[in-house]
Amino acid sequence: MKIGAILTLTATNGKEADSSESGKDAARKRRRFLSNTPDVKLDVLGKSLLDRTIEKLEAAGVEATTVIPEGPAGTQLLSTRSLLSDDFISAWERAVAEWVQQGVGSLLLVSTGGYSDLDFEELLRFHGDRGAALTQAYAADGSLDMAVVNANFLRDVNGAYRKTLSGLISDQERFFYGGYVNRLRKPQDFRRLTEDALSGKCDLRPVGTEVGPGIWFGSGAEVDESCAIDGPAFVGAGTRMAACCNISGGSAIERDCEIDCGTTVEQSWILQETYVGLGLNVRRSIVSNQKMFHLDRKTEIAISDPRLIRATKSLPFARAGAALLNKLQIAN
Amino acid sequence: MNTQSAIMIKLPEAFGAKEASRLGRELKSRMSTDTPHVVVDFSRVREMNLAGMEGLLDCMETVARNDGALQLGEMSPEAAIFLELTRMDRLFNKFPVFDAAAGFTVEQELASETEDLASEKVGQPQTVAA
Repeated sequence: MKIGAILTLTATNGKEADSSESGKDAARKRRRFLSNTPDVKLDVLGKSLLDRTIEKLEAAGVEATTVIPEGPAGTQLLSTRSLLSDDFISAWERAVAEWVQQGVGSLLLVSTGGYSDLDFEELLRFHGDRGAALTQAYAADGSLDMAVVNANFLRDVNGAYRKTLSGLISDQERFFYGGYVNRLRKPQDFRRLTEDALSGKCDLRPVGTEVGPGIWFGSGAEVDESCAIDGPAFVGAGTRMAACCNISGGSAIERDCEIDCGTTVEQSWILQETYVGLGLNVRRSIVSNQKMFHLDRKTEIAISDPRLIRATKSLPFARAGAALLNKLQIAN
Repeated sequence: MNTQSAIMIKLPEAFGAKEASRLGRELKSRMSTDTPHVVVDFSRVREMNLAGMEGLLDCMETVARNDGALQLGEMSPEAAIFLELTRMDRLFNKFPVFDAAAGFTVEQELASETEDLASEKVGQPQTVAA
């Protein structure tokens, strides 16, 4: 049987939004976590959660996945229209229509709002065994924003697919999942995910080679021999660590980072393409190339001094500026 | 009764090179005693950079050279993160603290007597106890 999937990139979680902010403002704030990259596209131990989810779907037999950005989180699969933008609804309706036209037997609806170790294959099997029109996955604390629809119920539909799906909710089957779930509502949750993955508490695996007990290096990671690494720890692909650095407390340093001499990274997560300056003490923090979030103080600071923290790769406008300068010099 | 004075320095919201150098000048001009005692208040600080930190180090050196004491006052979470990141928090801890029994009192309410430093973008030293 042909299986299709629609993956919605979650913008925000309604429970987190400040009541004084409009849904759109809150969404804009939340979907950019410390950097300009949407949360779901940030590398977590070497690979983004988006890529990991798509791979998991493929492994479960899903033929292809349609990715739709900017949906709100929390029961978003079947949210009320008022919570959704017109663009999102149109894109979602189009995606469903395409899958139905292609003749899929089942359609998996998944949102990327959180992380779970749920096995899609198991969910699909459960759905098939029960012969349900709609099956939704639940954890102990609520919906997992994952559902399987029997596509036969979507054929010959007049009007919006959302309406048809809403009509199936009352007869839905519930798939209860008791495994690892991380809702990823706060920055602390992301840090917990990296820690749990490194200590084997969930199925998320670091991308790289285990070079020592619990110590993972991505391909091309360069670590000076004078560095002290106390596992579990992760050093991403292409990351360079200069002399006398200390890594401990389940820290993860993502790909293409540069950690300068004598810096200590303790119980922290350094996001991809971040330079961390000389002799610094990064403790209980999440660090991007322009901001830092302290996990205990629950405070985010912007760092404008490039000697402390900066991007390791030049930004597009900087590259454009350099090219322009080059042209001017040639012209002169 | 000891009549030495303590200087309260309330740092501005953004503390960079310019503010640090002005702070250094003010500190030198206001240090009236041989053994200066300084309280640095970080409660308003939201942003710092390495140049500001270096300026602060110079001030610490000035105080140390005069056998003075330096103490951390109120601290914003942002400032605390910057100090921890740059390990300056450890340096502050190495300074001798004020000996209250010797007659020093840095009264909290007197901090309100300090000028509005944020508007000047510079830490302005102020005598708070005599």
